[in-house]
Amino acid sequence: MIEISNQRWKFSEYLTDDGVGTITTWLQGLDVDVQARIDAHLLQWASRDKWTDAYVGKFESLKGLREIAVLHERSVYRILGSAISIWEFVMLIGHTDDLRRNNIPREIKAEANLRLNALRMNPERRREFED
Amino acid sequence: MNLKTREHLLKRLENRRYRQAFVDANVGVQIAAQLHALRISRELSQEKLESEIDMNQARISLMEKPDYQKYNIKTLKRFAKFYDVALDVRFVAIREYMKRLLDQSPKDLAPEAFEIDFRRAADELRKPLNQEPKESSSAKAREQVRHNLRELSFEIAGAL
Repeated sequence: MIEISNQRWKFSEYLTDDGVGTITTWLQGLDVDVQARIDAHLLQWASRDKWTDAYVGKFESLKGLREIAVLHERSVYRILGSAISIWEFVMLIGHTDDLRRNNIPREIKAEANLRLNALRMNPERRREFED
Repeated sequence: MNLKTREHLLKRLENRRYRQAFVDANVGVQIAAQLHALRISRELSQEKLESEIDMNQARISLMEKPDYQKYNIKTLKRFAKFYDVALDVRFVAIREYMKRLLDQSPKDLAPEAFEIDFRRAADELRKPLNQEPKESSSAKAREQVRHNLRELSFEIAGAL
């Protein structure tokens, strides 16, 4: 048996220049069913000790970024973010992939990278995720 | 998860559609997380587990994915038997369910096998009172505050 932690992951979200939570805004535009599914996934990820790459996507092209993907009916709801410290995952951008293309559009990757850099420059650009 | 997050989540559960989708999604999400955590805690690869439990590796992998929804009790009983833990399938009130979910830690996902769990419990019982680990007063206070907040959030939710 290996030693397992009692600690839970904390989720934060990236804030725009106006101080608006990017993930909260994205979620509010989604159907209630999808919101519930995403909440269920996040709550469960919070209590997982090890986030393996098989389940949390890690893309070589996205330096330092990881993806939590939630499948629902014909769409994939993707949250790109980064573990900025042990037990804290900052969600940077949400993306709805209606066609299940299994890739992330270039502009979404670029925006996520920009936000990650901005966050590294200013760690205040995040707040604890509330929704 | 802070008090505000809990309040938000509990508030959203008042919406019947949200509540049903949340509970529905959680069935698969929770089982997948437990199957994965149990395997990792026993230091088993999927390939190793395949030979131990006589189940196809691709199937094991599929069942560890949070979006998998086709579990059957017979298969889950096989896992429970192999890991020497209990499988607890029951209906519960949403409030009780949420309480457990919100406080769940990685340790809760991977319960110990009977022998280890019982040995630990027996050791605890044998320990003389004066040998119990002393918690610092600040840790105790923090735990008390956390407990009070947790209770308060459920009281608020109950009053809404």
